[in-house]
Amino acid sequence: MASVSFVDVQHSYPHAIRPTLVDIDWTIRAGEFAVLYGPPGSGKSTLLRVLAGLEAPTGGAVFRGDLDITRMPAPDRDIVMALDSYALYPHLSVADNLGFVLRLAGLSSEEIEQRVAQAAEQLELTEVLASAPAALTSAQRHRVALGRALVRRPSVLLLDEPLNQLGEEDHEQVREQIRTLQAALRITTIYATSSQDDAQALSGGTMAVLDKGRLTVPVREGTAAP
Amino acid sequence: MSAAPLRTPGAGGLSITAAAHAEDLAELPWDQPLAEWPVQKLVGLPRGISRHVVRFVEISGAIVAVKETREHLAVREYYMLKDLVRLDVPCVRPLGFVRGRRDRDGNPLDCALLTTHLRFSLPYRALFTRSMDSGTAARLVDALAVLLVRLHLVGFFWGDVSLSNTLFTRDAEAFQAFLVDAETGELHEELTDGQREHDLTLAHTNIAGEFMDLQAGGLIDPHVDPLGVSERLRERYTELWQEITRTETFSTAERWRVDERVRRLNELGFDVGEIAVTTDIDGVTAHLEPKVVAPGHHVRRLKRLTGVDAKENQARRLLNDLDQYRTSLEYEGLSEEEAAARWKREVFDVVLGAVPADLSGKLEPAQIFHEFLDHRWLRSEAEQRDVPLQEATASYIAEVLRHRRDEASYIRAVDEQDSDTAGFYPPDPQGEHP
Repeated sequence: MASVSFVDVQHSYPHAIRPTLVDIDWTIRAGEFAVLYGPPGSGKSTLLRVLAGLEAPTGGAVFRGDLDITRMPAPDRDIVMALDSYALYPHLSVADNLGFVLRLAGLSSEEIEQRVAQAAEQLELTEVLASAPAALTSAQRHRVALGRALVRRPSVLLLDEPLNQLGEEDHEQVREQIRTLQAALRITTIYATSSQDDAQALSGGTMAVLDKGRLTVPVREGTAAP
Repeated sequence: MSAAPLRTPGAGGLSITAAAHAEDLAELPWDQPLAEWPVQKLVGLPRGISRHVVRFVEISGAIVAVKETREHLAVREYYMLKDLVRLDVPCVRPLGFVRGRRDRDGNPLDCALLTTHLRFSLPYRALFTRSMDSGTAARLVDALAVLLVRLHLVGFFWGDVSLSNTLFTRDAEAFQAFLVDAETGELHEELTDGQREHDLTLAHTNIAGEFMDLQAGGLIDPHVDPLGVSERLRERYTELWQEITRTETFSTAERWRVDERVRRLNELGFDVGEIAVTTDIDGVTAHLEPKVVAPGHHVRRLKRLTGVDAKENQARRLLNDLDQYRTSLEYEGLSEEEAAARWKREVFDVVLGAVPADLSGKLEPAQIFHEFLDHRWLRSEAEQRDVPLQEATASYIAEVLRHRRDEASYIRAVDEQDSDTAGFYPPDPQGEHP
């Protein structure tokens, strides 16, 4: 785990009428769970992409710990953005659904097996590792999708509207699972959401509000924008 | 036709917004979750891997895909698809959306997004057989690379690039790819390198996963390398993107390089809308920046000359035949237009006219003609003679076309899908698929 800092970060898309991010100063301490709340179009996804290295800021700097990662290529940052796509592959077992990203990254079979076993334990999926996805409950399927990010053992985990596509019933359950898991693993996590309910339910840690590209309301004393 | 709500019976009532077929759509069982729709309402089309429940229904002769999703996502995707259609990007046609659904106990149900099924299109899983080799896999990925370049050129960030979110139609020996799922997409004036890289990274991961899955299901040749296939997307995309977007600098004495660049882009199938040539202050070097519009060079020429609709590679092949035909008539001094009209009447229409009605849904007309050309060439070579048109047509129909799968709407009986082992999802064995 590592802390993350945005220092005077600016971002504009080419030909855009207004900048996407303006003067962003925000530090998330190592192991913290930070909620980034803002309406659609406020710049949340762009801020996460800037941190993940998928978008270059037009000004300012981004740090992981003490390391300036502003110009570092995305694969070298040790920051993982969990995909909101959670389609699972029907012919692959749960273990292979978890581990295929590691195979893609060139890890050895032993390393993949070990990481998958550990993530499965953390996600309470050990019993179903050999099963096909069709045998899983809806909540278990979401845990597998989250597990795909965790097996990569990132220093920082980014979740961009991870519950966006869930029905009401699964929504609360998965939200709670994410919170519990983060508390256990202590991976520095930024959870971006446009749902006020989610923001309130998860606001035990750091929370910041983004509006029209500006980080306007650092809510929690001592934990939000410096 | 613009979309308009069909009816909104009171606050919280069912509201169908559709560009067509609204009355027929109202007859569907919107008070039941899509996963529980009666089988007799459904059309058994193969589907890709989806995180949503997707079903196909027949409405006034058209096949409509129904996707259940959250209201704000459905409405957003509907308008996004409309934008993409306006930008002339190959994608499914949005038909409408249905809001305010409730079950019989009054519990709210998800919104439904409606899109029109593309005739002759197939999800990638339906294109695979156990004997499928790495060549077919590569051609699918090449088609996806072209689609991704086209999307990026118009400023569309996909956010979930995968074979599952794409439909394919045959285009001569190649495929053409169509975007199916725009849920995560964003339209910008222009994409940043980071956005393009994000799409490529997603594509790389998803394609590798999809091919590993096909392999685990025994659906493809075990020698196909999933990682290699997924790497190919990035290579093909980068190659194409660079050719299309790079700015060239050359001496002002080398103006022919403008023509050469345009020809190269045309060969790749892309039209050049305009070319910006700027010279240095001393006038010694010029900078060439083509504005690539979209693939369609051969499509438009074929359409202009013959009125025949085809895809890019099909059009290129048909035009080759037309040009050869014209050469054979050269002594008659016909113009290009006159020769094309005669080719259409005496060659193209003769072959298509010989296809019995019960076989006409097997393939698109241009694909049938393309395959006919292949067949005639193979026979002519084997027999060391020019096989006449009628003879080649008859043997193509009997020996090739009659044995092809019907691809107009690759519909299969629901019972057949239930026992299928080829990776398609039956309408409702498990409810929602993963």
